Order: sequence, then C-alpha cells, then structure tokens
Amino acid sequence: MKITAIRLAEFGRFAEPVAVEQMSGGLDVLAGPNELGKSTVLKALQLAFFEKYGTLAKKVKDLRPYGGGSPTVEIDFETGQRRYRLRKRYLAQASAELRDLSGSQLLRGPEAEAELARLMGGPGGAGRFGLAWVAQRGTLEPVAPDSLDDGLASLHRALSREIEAVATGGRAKAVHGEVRRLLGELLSHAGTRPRGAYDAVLKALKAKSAEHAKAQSDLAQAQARLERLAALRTREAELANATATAARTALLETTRATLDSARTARSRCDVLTEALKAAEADLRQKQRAEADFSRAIADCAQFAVEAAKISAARATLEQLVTERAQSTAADQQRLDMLYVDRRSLGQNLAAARAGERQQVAADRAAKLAQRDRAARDLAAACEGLAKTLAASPATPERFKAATRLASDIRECEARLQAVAAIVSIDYLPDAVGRLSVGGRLLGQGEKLNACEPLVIEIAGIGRLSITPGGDAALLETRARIAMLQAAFTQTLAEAGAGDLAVLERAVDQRRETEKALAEAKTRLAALAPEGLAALATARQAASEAAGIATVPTVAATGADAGKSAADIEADVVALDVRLAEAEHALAPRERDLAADREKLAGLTAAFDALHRRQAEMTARLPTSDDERKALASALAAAVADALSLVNRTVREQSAWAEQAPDAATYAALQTACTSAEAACRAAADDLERLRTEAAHLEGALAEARNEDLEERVAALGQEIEHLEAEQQRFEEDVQALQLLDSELMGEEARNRDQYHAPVLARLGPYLDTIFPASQISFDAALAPTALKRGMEPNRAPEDLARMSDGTQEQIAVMVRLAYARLFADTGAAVPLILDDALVYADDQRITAMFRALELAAIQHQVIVLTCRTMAFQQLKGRRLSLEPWALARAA
Amino acid sequence: MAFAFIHTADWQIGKAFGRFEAEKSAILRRARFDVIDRIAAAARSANAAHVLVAGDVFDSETLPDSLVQKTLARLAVHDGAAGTAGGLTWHLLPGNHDPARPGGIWERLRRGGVPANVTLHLEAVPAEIAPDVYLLPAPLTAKAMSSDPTAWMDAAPTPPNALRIGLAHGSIKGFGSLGEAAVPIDPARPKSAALAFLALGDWHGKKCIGPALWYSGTPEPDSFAENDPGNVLAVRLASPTAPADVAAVPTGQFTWANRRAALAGADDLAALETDILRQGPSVATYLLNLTLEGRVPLSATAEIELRLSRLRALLFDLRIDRAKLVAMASDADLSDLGDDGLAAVAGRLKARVDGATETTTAGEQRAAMRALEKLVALAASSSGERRP
Repeated sequence: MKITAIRLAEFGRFAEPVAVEQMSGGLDVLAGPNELGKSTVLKALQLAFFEKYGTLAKKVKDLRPYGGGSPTVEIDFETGQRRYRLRKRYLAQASAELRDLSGSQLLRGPEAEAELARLMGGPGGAGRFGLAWVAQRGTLEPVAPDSLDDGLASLHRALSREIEAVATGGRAKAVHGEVRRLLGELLSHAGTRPRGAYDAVLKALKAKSAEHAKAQSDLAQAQARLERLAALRTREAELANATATAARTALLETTRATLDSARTARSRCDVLTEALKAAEADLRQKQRAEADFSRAIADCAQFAVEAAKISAARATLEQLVTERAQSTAADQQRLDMLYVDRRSLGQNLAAARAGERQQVAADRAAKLAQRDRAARDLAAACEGLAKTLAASPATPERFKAATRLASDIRECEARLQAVAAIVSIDYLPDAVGRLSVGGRLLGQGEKLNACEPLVIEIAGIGRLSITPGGDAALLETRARIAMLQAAFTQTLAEAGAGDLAVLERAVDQRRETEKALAEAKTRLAALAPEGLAALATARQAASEAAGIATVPTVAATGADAGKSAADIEADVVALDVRLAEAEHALAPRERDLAADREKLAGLTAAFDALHRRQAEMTARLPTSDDERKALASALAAAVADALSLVNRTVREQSAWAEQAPDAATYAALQTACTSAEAACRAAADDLERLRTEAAHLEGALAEARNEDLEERVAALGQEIEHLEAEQQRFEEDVQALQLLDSELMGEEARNRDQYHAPVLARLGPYLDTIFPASQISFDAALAPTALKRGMEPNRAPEDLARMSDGTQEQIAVMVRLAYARLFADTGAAVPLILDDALVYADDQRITAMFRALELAAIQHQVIVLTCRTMAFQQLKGRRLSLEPWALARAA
Repeated sequence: MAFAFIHTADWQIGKAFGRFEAEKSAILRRARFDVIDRIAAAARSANAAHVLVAGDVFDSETLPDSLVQKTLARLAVHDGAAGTAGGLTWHLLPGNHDPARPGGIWERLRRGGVPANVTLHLEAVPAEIAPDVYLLPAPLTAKAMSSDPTAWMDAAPTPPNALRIGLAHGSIKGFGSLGEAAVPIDPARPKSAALAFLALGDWHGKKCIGPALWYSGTPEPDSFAENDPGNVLAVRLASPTAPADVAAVPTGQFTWANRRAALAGADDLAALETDILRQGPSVATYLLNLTLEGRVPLSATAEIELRLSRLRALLFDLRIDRAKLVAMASDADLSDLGDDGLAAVAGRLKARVDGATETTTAGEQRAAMRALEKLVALAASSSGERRP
C-alpha cells in the first residue's frame, strides 16, 4: 500500500480543510514547526483506516474542532496495482465512500468498509499498520508485536509466506506446558527441591528409614543382650559349680590356719625377744656394779702414788720459776736504762733541728728584703718612663695622620701639576737671566708649572702673568690641598714638631721609651709577681719569722752539744737498734717464765683434785677389808644369776623363732589368705551380680520379644522398599520430564531461530548502518530483547532495556523498518509512518538513520513527520506541505 | 527293628517376609506355622511315630514368647491323646537360627516345660527314642561353629546292634556353599559313626547327598530359590545296615516360581497367562517372579501393563523385573505426533533409547524411554483435548 494524498476537514485543529498532496509513495517528509498539525494527519490516517464511519467513540468526538463539525478524512492510496480514494465522515451525517480510481467502482457505507478491510488484508491485517505507524514518542516504547491487536498475527502471516513451519505448534506448546506442570508438581520452581507427592515420599522414606534403623538397632541390641546373657549363664555355671566352690573354701580355711600358726609363733618370738633384751640389760648392770667396785679399790691405791709424784714435781718447778724471775728482772732494768738514753738523744735531736730552721728563716728574710728594694726601684723607674711618655705629644698616631695628610697633599698637587700649563724657559743667548719669578731668576731650560697664578718678570720688559683656568675640579683640588695643608700644619703643631722628619724622630724616641718601660715592667713582674704590697708583706713575714727563730727553745746538751742534727739522728738510729735487740732478748724469757708459772698452777690444781677424789672414794667404800671382800662376793653372785637368766631366754626365743616365718613369708601368707577371702567373696558377689544382670537382660529380652522386633524390622524394610521404589519412580519421572522439557525447549529454540531468520535478514542492512556486524535477539513474540555488538563470540548481548534512550529508539525504528520490509517482501506492504522520531539521535547516528530510511523507501513507502526542519534537511525524499483543500471540488 | 520316621527341617517359624506388604507377609508367616499339621498328616500316612526336625525350628532367638508357646501347643495337639490316629513325638534340634546357648530360646523352653510329646535335643548325647533306636543329635550352640558338631557321633556309645540315627544342622563339606549355616559337616559321617541315617537341615531344598545322608528341605517354601522345597522325607529303616527307604512327601502350601518371558508385543504374554490359568484355584497360592525382556512398541505398553495387572490379581504375588524390557517408539507412534516439533523431539529421544548416541548410558536410555512414553501419552492426551 502507498498513500498518495491525505485531506482533512473539520478535523482536530484544522477547522479549515487542508490537504497533503503529491505524496511520492517512497520517502515523503512533512517537516514543520510544532502545532503544524502533523500528528493530526497521522490520527486522520488511523481514523480513516481503522474506525468505521458510524462510530461514536470518544476518541472520534475528541477530534472535532472547537467550533464543532463532522471530522472528515479523504485518503488516496494504491494497493494491488490499483488506486483508491477513501473518504469518511464521522459523527453528524456520517458516511463512507471507497472509490476505485483505476476503474469506476464506488462503494458506500458498509460495503465501502468491507472492501477497505479486504484491501487492508482481511481480519488481522490491521496489525501491520499498528507495527508500522508510530505516533509521537512511540519509538521510545519497547517494540512488542503481541501487545497490538493482530500485531503478532500479522507478523506470523508474513513469516508463514517464507518459512514452512512457523515455530513450535500449539500441540507442542500444550505438551510442553503439561510437562512443565507435571515437573512443577514434583519439583520447586527452581527445579532443585522436591515437592508434592515426591517430597512426601522422600520425607516418609526418611522417617521410615530412621524408624527402621531404630528397630534394627533395637534388634541388634536384643541380639547383643542374648549374647551377653549366654556369656553370663556360662559364667554363672562356672561360679556356681560345687567343686569349685568347695575348693575355694578349703583353700581359704587352710590359708587361714597357716596364718594363725604363724601369727602365734611370731607373737611369742616377739615377747621373748623383749624378755631377752631386759635380761641382758640386767646382766650388764650387775657386771658394771662389780667392775665399779673393783675399780674403786684399785683407784684408792693408785691415788696415793699419784699424789707423791705430783708433790715432787711441784717443788722442782717452783725453784725453776724463782730463778727465771730474777734473770728477767735484771734484763728489764738494762732495757729501762736504754730507754732513758733514747729519750735524751731525742731531745738533743730536736734542738739541733730547731737551730737549722732559724738559719733558713733569716736567709729568706734577707733575700726578700733585697727583692723588695729592687722592686721598688723598678717601680719608680717605670713611673718616670710613663710620665715621659705621657708628656710626649709625638705619638705614632699623629705621625701616621701627618704622614697620610702629606701623602694626600702630594697626590692633590700632582693632579694640579698634571693639568697645569708648563712654562719652559729658553733664553736667547743674550738674554739669559732676564726672567725671574718672585725675584728668583729663572735658569736656562727651567720649567715652571703654572698651576697657580704665575708672574714672570722680564727684566726690562715687564711682567708676564699666567693665571690658570677656573675649572671646578681644579678649584676643588686646590681647596682640598689648602684644607690638607692646614690639617697637616695643625697635626705637626699638636705633635710638637716643625716638620714631618722631626716628628718621625720624636716618635722613634717615644718607641724607645716605651720599650724601656715594658722591660722594666717585666722585671718588676718577675720580682713581685703578686705585686709590691704582697712582696712587702712577704718580706715582713719573713723578717718576723727570722726574728722568732732567733730565740732557741732547747739547746743540745752533753756530748751532743754542737753536733749537727744529722749526726744526732745517726746516734738515735744506733740506739734504736740496741733497744730492739734488748727487747727481743727479753720476750722469750718472759714467755718461759709465764709458762712455768702456769705449769706450776696446773700441778697444784691436779694435786688438789686428786686429794679430793681420794677422800670421796674412801668415804664410799667399806672401811674394812673384810667388809670389802664380802661386798665383792655378793656382786659376783648377782652377775652369775643374771647371766643364767639370759641363757635361758635365748634358748626359748630360738625355739619359737624356728617356728615363726620371716616377714616376707608372713606377708605372703597374709596375701594368700586375703586372696582366698577375696576369691570367695568375689565369687559370691559375681554370682549375685551375674544373676541380677541376667534377670535384667531376661526382662529386656522378654520385652524385645514381645515387640517382635524381627517382624517389625522386616515390615519397615518392606515399607522402605516400597518407598524406595516410589522414590525411584519419581526420580525417573523427574529425569524423564526434565529430559523432555530440555528437548522441547531445544526444539522451540531451533524453531524460534528459524522463525526469526526472515526478520533478522531484513534487519541486517539497517543495523549495519549504525551497529556493524551486530545482531538483535528476539523473544518468542518477535519483540527485540538484546543487542550483541560486533563479531566477538564471547561478547555478551546487552539488554535493550538497559541501553540509552537514543540507542533504544534507533533500534526500535530499525526493527519496525524490518517488519515493514517483511510485509513489503511478502506482498502486504504498508507505509511506515514515523511521527517525530529520532529525537535522541546524535549527528552521526541521525545521518545513518537517514540512510536507513532512504534504503527502506526503495522497498515501501516511508512517511516522516517531523518538527525538526533543520535537522531533517539532510533526509532525502519528497518534502510535503499542508495546503488548503477545496473540499467542494474534491467532493 | 524296622523304624519309620519323618525327616524335616528349616521350619523357621516366625520368619518375617520383609519383601512383602504386611498382609501378605502375615499370610506367609502363618503358612509356616500351619505346615505342622501337614507334617503330622504325612507322618501318619507313613506310619511314623517320630518327627525329627533337623534344626532351625524357629527363625530367631528373639521371637515373641506367645508364638513359641503357640508352636508347642500345636505340636502337643498331635500327641494322640485326642483320639487321633496315633501320637507323634517331635524331636527338636537347635540350628544356626535358634542355637542352644545359655539364656537362649531353648533354655526358656526347657525352663518353662514342653509338652510330653516334644523332646528337646540340646546336648550331644545319645537318646533312645524307641527300643534299640538311638538318636544322636548334634545341636548347634552358636550361629557359626568351626568344628563339625557330628564328630562326637563316631564314638557315641550305644548298645550293639542298636539303630543309630544322626540328626544335625549345617553344611556338608564339599557340598559347596549349599546351606546358610557356617557349620561344617563331614559327609562321611554316616559311615564313620555307623549311622543308619543322618538327617540334615539348613539347605532349604530337598537334597540327597548319599544313601544315608539327606537334606529334607523346608516343608513350606520361603524363597524363589529353585532347590525343590516344600517336602518332608518319610524314612524307613529296616535295620542298622539296610539302605534307608526315603520318600519325599509334599507339604508346601505356596508355590514360589520364576518365569522369564520374551516379549515383542502384548500377545506374547498369552502363553504365560495360559500356564497360570491352568493351575486353577491353586493359582492364588502362587508367587511369581517374572522377568520380562525384549523390545515392544510404545503403543503396546499400555496393553502389556493391563494384562500384567490382570495376572497380578490372580496370583498371590507377582514381581516383575522390566530391566531388560525396552519400549520402542514405532514409526506409527512418531507419525501420530504430527509435524510441529514433537516428532523431532521424539526422534531424538528414540535415538537415545536405541543407543544411537555413543555416550548414552543405560540410565540415560531408560530416562529417554520414559520421556518418550510420556511424550507420546501427553501428545495423545493433547490431541484428545483438541478434538471437538
């Protein structure tokens, strides 16, 4: 179909009839400002083609102009090689006319509507227009063919003309749906968790398995109890065996009897051992008494002999002590005399030393007096020199200043002379001496420097005055010279010199004086380093010291008078040697004397002690010999009795010791007896315990038997087997359904690819204009979903909904171009109408989109309505305009 | 001197049939109890006054006391006191399922007392059970024994010319793995111990090891093992040296059978159905372990299942192993799926079932088969819904 003209009257904003004529049927562009009425033109097309003339729908009423009227639309179009004119008037005096401009047929009313529907493709044909006619902002909305009435059906029809099998059929969908439903009954939506009957079987299986395990465990426990019971019964039989019991009892009795005998023997043995100890102690005591008596008798005789010996020794020692005491006293006396000599000699030595010290003090006082005098002389000389220096004005500083001023004067005069005129005297041979200055005759060849006004008198002739020029620098130099000379003169005057040479000599003289002063000060400092006052004080002190020393305290006497201290010291040393020798000789004698005296005291003490003991001993013993003999006999008899008792006890103890076992044997007997008792007790305890445990086991086993555990285990096993079979059946069902689901999905995907191929083939050239080598994915309803850019196989497709508005709009337009191209290729062409599309495209993209539109217009009509006049200037195609429509003429 | 007796074993009263649902398990359990009466009848038929039970009278040592007492009461019924044809004496021997150990089931029985016509042989000592007829029992005292419990019989003292009958429970040496007890028994024992007959238990089927050495098997079958169970042996001994006259007497109530059927379609079940129906009313005591194999079209599976369910209703129990039965989608099955993608899916699943993919595992094959079955069923259902 191609639209060649659109005419409107009493329609929307067009109160006056307007027309868009001369449409090319290719690329037609109606560009104009906002409110030109472009969208109204699209509405008029939609109304004429899709709304029957008799409708009173609100959207039709809304299209009446403000002034009222009956919206009228007239459209010229071509389809199936024929040209038609459709004219519809709505609301008041509604009418419809369809005129075949290629022939003469004119249909009106319902017939016109029916024929129009046929021309548009019959029932469902309207969907093509919905896909191709895009109102304002329509390109920004997702392309969804299934959201339009007959949109998807139109595409299906178009596709069915190119491919044999159009996607998976309804039967396959129904089967797939049923597969999904059955899977949904068995698995969660995620396909990971069992549900429904499947889940119930799994849960029941789990519960029954736990129950079965418990029953098996109970059964195993019952078996274990049975085993244990058998073991207990066996053990019980062993324990209850009469022979074994009798053997245990006999062993215990025998062991006990043996232990009792052993215990008695050991006890008796212990008693006799103690008795033997007592008898032996008694014997020892009696033996000691007898020995003591015998020893006392012997001691009494011995005491007398000892006393005599001690008395003799004491007498000898007393004599020796007396002699030693006398000898020692004589030695001590000689030593005392030496001490007296030593004291006298010490006093003489002190006196000699004091005399020598007096002489030293006098010498020192004399030396200090001499130094003091010399120092005072030097001090007076220094004072004189200082005064000379102070009185002399010819100081080096003045000399230096005068020298510097003279130099400056010379320098200034040199500068004056350098710029002054030089007057050279050159007499004629007969005129020599005729020239004079200030009365001084000038010589032949003399040169005068005329730095100052110069008057040369020429005898006989007159005066020649030469005045130097008045240059400022020259004047300044002269002034400076004058100032310098004044200063020079004053300096010399201050220095007391007539000229610089006098001053120089005076300064030299001053330096000599200064040198002499410095030397005098140095000497003075050497004589009185701490000053004259200190020196005077020292001299005074020395004089006083010498004065005191002149009065000796003790004078040397005797043979030492007049001896020097050194000589006396030699005597002292000799005397000290003699003293030491005397002391050394006296000391051992004194020690010997002391020792002898101590020995004498010991002998005296021993004698006294012996005497006392003898008295005591004698006092304890019977006085008579008969009595002493009787006592000796009694003591001997007591010893014999005690010895007899000991012997008897030893024999008896030995006899019992033979019967009593040793400690180790006795301990073994005790252990054996304890073991035998324990064995008897343990057997009884074991028997009791075994019987108790057996009774418990029997009770538990009876309970287990009543529960018929084996039957229960078997029954639960059967239930588990059944549930496992059910589980397996469900698993196989799930596996089969999942396989079927997967296969059906795969089949659908293959069909979808085949189904999409025609659209993709049309879309390709358009897509390449902006997205070279890219692919668009479609869903089952042929709505674009994703863009895969470029040829990179691993590049993920991009979700269209997440892309920019501009890209979404451009892809939406290209997809509609592809649909329109598909319709055109399958003999059901419709014009593609874009109302204010491509609003987000940048310059580059919009140019590419223009190429796409131009490319599409070769195959089918493309009508572009836009308010962007400038931007769309590049777009080729016929430019349309709204012109007044002579409705009457057209009618 | 001639002596007749019944040799039986492996009653395993109280056995729990865990593979069966509770109701069937109870019936099977009851049948092992009821067989006592049929054994008694067999004894009377054989003019035998003694029934020798060669071990495993009870299935376990933990059976309810009530069941044990009930068993004794049932044995006591056949004491001849109630005017029955003749009194029977039951000689019970502990086996590996019910060993005679201290505190065990036999001790309880002995302590509580047993009927007069019941003799417990709990010790290995000769017992004169009839004039000049000595029973040499080899009771087991544990579930497993490393030594031959019949060894003592060689030196067991009996009067000269006495008839010596051995009674034991265990596995014959050289008899391989027959029997479940880990108890070795020397097959030369009858000769070495001068036994006229050695009655053995443990191998649940009837088995003649030698002229004087027999396994009687269990009187009531309890598994699908094909070893001739469900009998007792009527034994007649003319003299200590004469060969034993042994006759098997069927006593089983239930028949445990294995069948294998190769199917290409539902009609291949016809032979099996005929065989079953030929059994008449006794088919209600049949337990059939059926193994199906072959490849059948998908369209036949529903018919096969229907016919199997009818068989199941006839039998006491039907167990079916379908592991080797493959349901194949035929071209007709696939053509019914139409051309809107389902056929392609079915084709891929069929390729997996057929193992066309090298990497397809057996599990994946089964899943693919089930998926294919479901696809065909759902597609058929979908078509049905769409039909006006």
